[in-house]
Amino acid sequence: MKEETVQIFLRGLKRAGIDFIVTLPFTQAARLLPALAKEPSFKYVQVNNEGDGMVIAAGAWMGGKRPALIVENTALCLGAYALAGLDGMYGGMPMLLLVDHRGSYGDGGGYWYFAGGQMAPVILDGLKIPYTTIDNPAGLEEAIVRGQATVEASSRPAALLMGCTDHW
Amino acid sequence: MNVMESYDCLESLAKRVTDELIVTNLGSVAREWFHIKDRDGNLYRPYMGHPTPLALGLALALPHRRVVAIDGDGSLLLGLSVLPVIGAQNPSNLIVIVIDNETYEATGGPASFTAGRADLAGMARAAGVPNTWLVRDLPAFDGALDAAYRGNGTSLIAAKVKPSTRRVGYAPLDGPENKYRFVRYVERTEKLNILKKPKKALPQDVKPR
Repeated sequence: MKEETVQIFLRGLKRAGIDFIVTLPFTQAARLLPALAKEPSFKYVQVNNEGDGMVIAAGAWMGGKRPALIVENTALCLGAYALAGLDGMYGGMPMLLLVDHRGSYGDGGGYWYFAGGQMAPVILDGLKIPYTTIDNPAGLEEAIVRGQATVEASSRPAALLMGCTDHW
Repeated sequence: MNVMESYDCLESLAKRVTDELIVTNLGSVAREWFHIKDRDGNLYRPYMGHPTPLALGLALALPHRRVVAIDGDGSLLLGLSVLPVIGAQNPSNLIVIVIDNETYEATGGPASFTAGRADLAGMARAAGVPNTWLVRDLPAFDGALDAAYRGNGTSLIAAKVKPSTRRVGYAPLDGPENKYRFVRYVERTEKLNILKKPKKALPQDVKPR
């Protein structure tokens, strides 16, 4: 990821009012995550399983935080139980899902990305989580802000699927 | 053979509770805690595997406020991956009580792995949780709870109990109602504005009812 894209992320998250970051490190975010970890305006929580992270984010929201998860596409496979459980039991918990959408149209990186990449929108559709996709960092800052506006209006998760190489 | 009942542990916890935020497992523990001490600061019945991470999120968001997870053996076994996260974050305001009846009681009682060689307090200790206890009787539970309330760093108490003999009813509130009651309580006691307020004022010709 280019340094300027790291800065776009930071600006977008701050403008959106995000103050609680949950992540499981993944290759594409190698430069982003250290920048987030040392940024004092975020509580930064690294997890072992993104499903745990979604539930931790729900607890953080109930404690007054505005949480976002920064994860790769397979997080939606692991986290489907968490998201469905929070939705089914409590009517949803607000959190912004910022998802690396490797394995989407145009990704020439490798076949192994596509299982998670193709499942991501299916899981979001199945859980009725609003989302959009972008493949150009020029729109990233605004998309993060609009995503959090969606989270707060719906009081449920919303997701931004970020297309492969340009963002990371 | 275990001698304690979960109800006894929960009664002991109830004597200490003031303004704690408490997240309970589903099943008999939720019913018993509702029966013993229903209050606005209780969140009941997240899905299996979720009480402890949900309580962790609360504890990290409100580091000055004590948060108690009342989890179960089957539930924590489903989500063991949270233990190293707790060990790393180590919030001093978090107490995890595992009501370990060594069974999947709600399903009719098949044994969980804690009936064998699995030790949840040992797993928590190995994951970096600094204060852990495995207790088998009420005086030991009380002592562990006292120490947890005084503790520096996160505490986890695995309480070995026999399957519950109390038959108390379900909490008469559903999940969304429970969520909003709980969040309003957090807002009230922490002076926070968590639930979204409408951004636009009503038109002047529309009077709120």
